[in-house]
Amino acid sequence: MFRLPGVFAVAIFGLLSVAPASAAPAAPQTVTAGDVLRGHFVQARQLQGFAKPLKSEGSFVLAPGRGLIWHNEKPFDNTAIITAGGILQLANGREAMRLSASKLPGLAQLYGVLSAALSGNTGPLQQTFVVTQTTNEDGWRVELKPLDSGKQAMSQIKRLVLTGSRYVDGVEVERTSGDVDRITFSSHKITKSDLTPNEMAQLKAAAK
Amino acid sequence: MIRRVGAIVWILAIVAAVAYLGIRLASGVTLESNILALLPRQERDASVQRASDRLANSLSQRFGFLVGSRSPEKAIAAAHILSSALKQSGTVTAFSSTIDQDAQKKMGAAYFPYRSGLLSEADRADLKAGRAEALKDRAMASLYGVGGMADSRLMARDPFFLLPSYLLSLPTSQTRLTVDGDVLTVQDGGITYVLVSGDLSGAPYALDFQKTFHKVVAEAETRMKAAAPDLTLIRTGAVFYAHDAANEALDETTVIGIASLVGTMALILIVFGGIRPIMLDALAIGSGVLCAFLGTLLVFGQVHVLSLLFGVSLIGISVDYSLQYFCEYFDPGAPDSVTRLKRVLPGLAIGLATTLIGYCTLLLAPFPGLKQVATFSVIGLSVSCFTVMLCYPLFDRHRPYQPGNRFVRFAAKHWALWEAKSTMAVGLRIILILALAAMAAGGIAKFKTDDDVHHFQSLSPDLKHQETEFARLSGTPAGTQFLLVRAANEEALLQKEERLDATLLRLKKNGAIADFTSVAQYVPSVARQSENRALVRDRLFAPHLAGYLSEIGYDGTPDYPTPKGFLTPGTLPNAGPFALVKLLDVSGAGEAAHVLLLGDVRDAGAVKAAISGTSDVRFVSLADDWSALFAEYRQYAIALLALSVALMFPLLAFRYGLVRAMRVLAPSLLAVVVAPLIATLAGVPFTFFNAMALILVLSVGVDYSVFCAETGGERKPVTTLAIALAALGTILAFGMLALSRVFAVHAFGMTMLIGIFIAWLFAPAAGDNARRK
Repeated sequence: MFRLPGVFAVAIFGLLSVAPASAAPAAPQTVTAGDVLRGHFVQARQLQGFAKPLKSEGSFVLAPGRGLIWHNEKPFDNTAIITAGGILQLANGREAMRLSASKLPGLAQLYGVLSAALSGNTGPLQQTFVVTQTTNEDGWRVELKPLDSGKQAMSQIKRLVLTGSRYVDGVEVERTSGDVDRITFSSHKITKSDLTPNEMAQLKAAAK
Repeated sequence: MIRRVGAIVWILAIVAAVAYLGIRLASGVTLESNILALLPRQERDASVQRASDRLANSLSQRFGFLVGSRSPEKAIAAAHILSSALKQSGTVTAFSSTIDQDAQKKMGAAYFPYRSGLLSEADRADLKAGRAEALKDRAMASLYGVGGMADSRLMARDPFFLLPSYLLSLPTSQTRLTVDGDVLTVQDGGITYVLVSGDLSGAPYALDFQKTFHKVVAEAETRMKAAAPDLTLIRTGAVFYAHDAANEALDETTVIGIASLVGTMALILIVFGGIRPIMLDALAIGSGVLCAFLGTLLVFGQVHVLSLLFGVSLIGISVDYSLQYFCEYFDPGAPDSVTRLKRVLPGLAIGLATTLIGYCTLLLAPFPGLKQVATFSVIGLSVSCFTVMLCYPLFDRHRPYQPGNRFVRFAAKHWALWEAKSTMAVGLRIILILALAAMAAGGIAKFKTDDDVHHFQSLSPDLKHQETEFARLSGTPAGTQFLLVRAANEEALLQKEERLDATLLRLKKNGAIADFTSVAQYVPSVARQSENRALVRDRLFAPHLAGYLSEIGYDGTPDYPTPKGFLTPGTLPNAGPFALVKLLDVSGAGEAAHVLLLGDVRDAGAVKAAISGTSDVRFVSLADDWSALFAEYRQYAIALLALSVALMFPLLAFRYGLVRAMRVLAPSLLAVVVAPLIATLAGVPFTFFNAMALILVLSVGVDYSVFCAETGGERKPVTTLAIALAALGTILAFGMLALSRVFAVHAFGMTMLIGIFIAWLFAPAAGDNARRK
């Protein structure tokens, strides 16, 4: 009835950093533990019954093995921190909602898939999705369809499409409800662990 | 001639009984191994009893495994091997570790129509405090958030996503486990553990079931090791403890039984020589134990392994009667079987009478287990004694030994110790008494009682360790503590639980409890549901819905109906988390009652204080209740001990007169007082089981004094030899019990060992040195 599409999060989370290198890359640019990937996102959710897409944008920080900080800046300020321990939402810097992983199907798979994706191994993804990968001169395109739509975490997902070159540039999620989410990423930057004290505190708070 | 007919009838009766026992055994016998089955069921409050039973039962049906491996895939594969093996074997009714999607759907379907009345505690507090904006902001965050936490279908039916918020606020039992696909896992120290847990289909204390379950697990473990060579298997559940305990008790029964039988036989062989005394002895012991087993089975329908354990020790006591008889071989004045029997008959009769008095007082104890032990013993001892009286004259062709046998000469010294007027004997007597007094004084200083049921139950440190690991890894507090909440009807009861919420939240905040689970959390009272509906309508929808919808650009009209009826416990399906709700309902006739589970109670005092002002709410702790019961019955056993003395005394006074009766009782009374004190020095605290042992020390010890009181003159050495052999036999049996790993049995054995030794040592002091029969 109410499910958090953990698999979807897994897919973005994992493949944010899986990107074939070179001009028309076929090998992924890996973000290893200790590295930090930062970037900008724009999300447009086309939901049934809504006149226009729900648009939001902001920045994200991915620290493999630690978590993902999703900072919405527009239309309002809101931060979601996703870790193996659960999800923490901050509104205006204060805790607005906390969900432990014990209540969140799929979240635990996140790190397994993430590490697999980082090492360029799509094996774990193939256990849950039919993976179709194509390459052209602009970059690559990966289409993921759930193998078993009967699985609870899968039942909402119809199709995931990821596009990119060095990094993942776009994610499109189609749901069985007819809703479509489109996220575009830009300004990717990989650095050696330079999490700010605030970011570290946020990740720690969410993993609690 | 009459004697011969009597003996033959008696033997035929025993043969018939043994044959019948064989038939019963062949058709299978229920051996009970739950130590709590020994406890009385006399809780005066029927609801508390029902709640305790229900919970104890349900807890004992549960089992849990954590299947660990460094490789998550291998851990999952191994867990799958285990769960499918368990499923196939039919030993499991339901798995609680698999995410039952069907149950989740049923749960959603049951809640969905009533969603307008279901609010999480936090959301309610926000609405009541006028912070509806916070709920709107959260809904916006869900809509705009990463990965789209909310979709259009939910939006159309629950625009502020209040039902998901409510569902997520429901208590979860395993706080550290995460949902990973369709299994629950936890990572710790680089190892991934997968949970396999559920409910057993059979009784964990039934030996047959244990055996089957154990076999299935052992076979699965072999295959799991093949799938995951670095397998770690952590298990928890009453069934493992019960299996361990039953194995232990059965092993010990066998070892103790054989050891005491062999020891006794060896004694007889050494002292009396020849095969005939051994055959006669085996006849007495065998007829006693087998008839006792049959009698217990007939009376109770099943036999508790502890009765069996204590019962087998009877070998050591029932042999006393034959020993008395055989020792007459050393008496030149008793050349034939009829004279021998005539000589020992008064002693045997009084000995049996006093022993039976001791055991019969056990029958008065309202302990089902003790009744069994007592029944077993009364039948066994009577049959053994009658076998001696009826059959021995028929088979005994033994010629008397020549006087001056070395055993007799040696045994004579025991009597001399208490009779001789020499300085050395007097000095020895004084030293003995002083040493005993010194040890007793030392014991008084350290004396302490122990009634903690945990100490009696927990056997295997390995299993205990696994249980602790399981609780730590899964975050499942092993709780046997709860509140029993009662009211006139269900609605009033749910309201009462809701009023308790604030108290419990405060206790949780203070750390007195880790968590709590109530029926009202899953099914709010009708009053609470209508209040929630009004809150949502007046404080959220009326002021904020239109603005919210236009802000996010929603065109449609959300469907958020208010149904006529309300959600009630009766309308819930018995699936998934709702099965728990059904379990917690312990309502009886004319009264509604719910169990309110408390997770990990760290400060029982604070909980008791917090609910002290609330009527019809009671704090129940199963382990504490059992411990209190053991304390109560420890005192009860002491009272039984006094009763035994009171019942024996008139019998002894009738035969020996007041003063000599006191002398006959004195050695046993001394043993009863001093034995527990010396046991304390040996590190055994005084428990209910020690108290029970004292009753036996008294009844067996009095036998020795009686035999001494019945004898005189030249027969004294023969009698001391007989009681020395008797005491040795008893110590052979109970001394072995002292070696038991089962704490209760160990305590029992130690007390017996020390008590019997003292009673034997002082027994000749009861003899009348001037009297010659």
